[in-house]
Amino acid sequence: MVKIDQLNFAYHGDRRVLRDINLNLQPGHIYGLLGKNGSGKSTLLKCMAGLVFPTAGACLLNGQNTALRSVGVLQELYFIPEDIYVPALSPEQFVNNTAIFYPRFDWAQFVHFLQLLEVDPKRPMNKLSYGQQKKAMVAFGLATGTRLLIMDEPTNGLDIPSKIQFRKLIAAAVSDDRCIVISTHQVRDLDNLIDTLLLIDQERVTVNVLVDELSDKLIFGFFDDTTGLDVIYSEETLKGHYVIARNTTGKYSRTDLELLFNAVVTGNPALLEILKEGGTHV
Amino acid sequence: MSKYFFFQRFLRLLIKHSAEHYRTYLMSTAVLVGVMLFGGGFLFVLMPDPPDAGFQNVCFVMLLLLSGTMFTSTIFSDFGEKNKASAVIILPATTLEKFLVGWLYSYVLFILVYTLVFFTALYGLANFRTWGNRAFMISSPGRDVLIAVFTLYSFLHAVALFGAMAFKRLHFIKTAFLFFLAYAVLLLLNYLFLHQLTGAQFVHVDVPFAGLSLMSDGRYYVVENASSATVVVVVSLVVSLLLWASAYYKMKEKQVV
Repeated sequence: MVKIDQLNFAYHGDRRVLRDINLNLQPGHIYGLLGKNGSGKSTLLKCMAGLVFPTAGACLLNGQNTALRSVGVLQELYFIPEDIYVPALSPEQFVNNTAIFYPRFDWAQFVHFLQLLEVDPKRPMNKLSYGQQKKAMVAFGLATGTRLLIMDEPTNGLDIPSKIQFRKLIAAAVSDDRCIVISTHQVRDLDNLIDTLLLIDQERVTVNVLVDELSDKLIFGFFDDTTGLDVIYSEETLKGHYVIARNTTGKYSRTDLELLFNAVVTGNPALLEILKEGGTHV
Repeated sequence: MSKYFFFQRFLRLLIKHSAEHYRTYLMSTAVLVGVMLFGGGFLFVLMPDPPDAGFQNVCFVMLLLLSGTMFTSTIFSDFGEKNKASAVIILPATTLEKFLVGWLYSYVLFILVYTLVFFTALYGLANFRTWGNRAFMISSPGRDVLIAVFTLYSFLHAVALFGAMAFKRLHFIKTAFLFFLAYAVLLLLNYLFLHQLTGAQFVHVDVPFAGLSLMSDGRYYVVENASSATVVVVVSLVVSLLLWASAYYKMKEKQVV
């Protein structure tokens, strides 16, 4: 569905942010894009949405270059930026004027999502709190029915109950013909939501792995004694050693994205090597 | 369905733009009415004689150019703000349709609204004061004035529209500054070019193809080009078209960085 081919991006021609990015995003998946502040997550998402133009390479949506911004491409993607803009219209009025641009827009779904997220459909959006505004735009984005939905830091500004609602909504909204890409630096917000992890570090996508594969390959947990474990990464905590180790026993453990993230960004060649093995592709 | 323009979609875009911006446009119209009524009322009080056709034409043209360029320079301000620009760019419509909505509002609709407001205000002011037995007549601009206004407004509109896309903020100030700078440079280059060509001492030099006056052997000459008015109109319209096209391509290449 989305093919990113040898994509490079540099701001003002010299400040390079992305280098030789190759990705193949498939429908039916929720991709979580993680990275440190300034690592290029937002830039990659903007490249996908055609909001910025790569200095080399291309991003294709169903074979069409998103940078050309053709109507056909724009009807198939919706992008929710980190800082959203809402006009001085109620969600209902906004949808009345905007839904018509999206051929598969689902009104009933939109109303349902607003109810779930507890957003008043009749109140002007510019009078809503930032979190409410964001929820209204998430509801709109989900109801557009676009094949590609891109969200940049969607949980910023949401309170804890709203984050839970958000996760439920996204999980329910993914379908076999739809691909959702979510970026965040709040790693815990994506727990139990994404099925594929993408991690950007030092201008490249260093990790591209199915979350299920992670638990097959790695074991996460607290250990007082790590003897006998093939420890790849460890953090000292009050509860003991918080460890990522190679999974040699086939035992299941809950993947901790935050710990994995820390392990990758602190530079861990052994971990990256394991993630490259088998079906995982970087 | 055309790759570049589809009328129904353009109409929907126009409706969406109007719904999201009508408050601002209504407020702008109210400001225009206020300026005309208060400014015009002030002038009417000060004037010893009723304003003649020439004065009315000058007011009509000056206010049109000033308010029109100010309004036009804000028409694409959404593209200068990251969060708004994302929303506009990803909306499924062609760049041409998005551009034409701004063009239509700032050119056609603005002229219509402005003309209506100007003559309504003038009509209101006509009943505001009398000058004894000297009657005040509202006059409409003649054909020559209209051609000059149309040409000048098209040119300045194109400049303002290009500035609206080229700058992220302070569109009007930055565009006006660069416009006057470019105008001064053009005059200087024209002067240097003519001086180099003829060696004459020029008293007055205008833009290329327009009139000029010079001193030679203690005598003062005024050179008039019979077709200069036509040349200026044609050149202005061609430059306007080029600037509109440039603004369109600026929009097409707009990035949210």
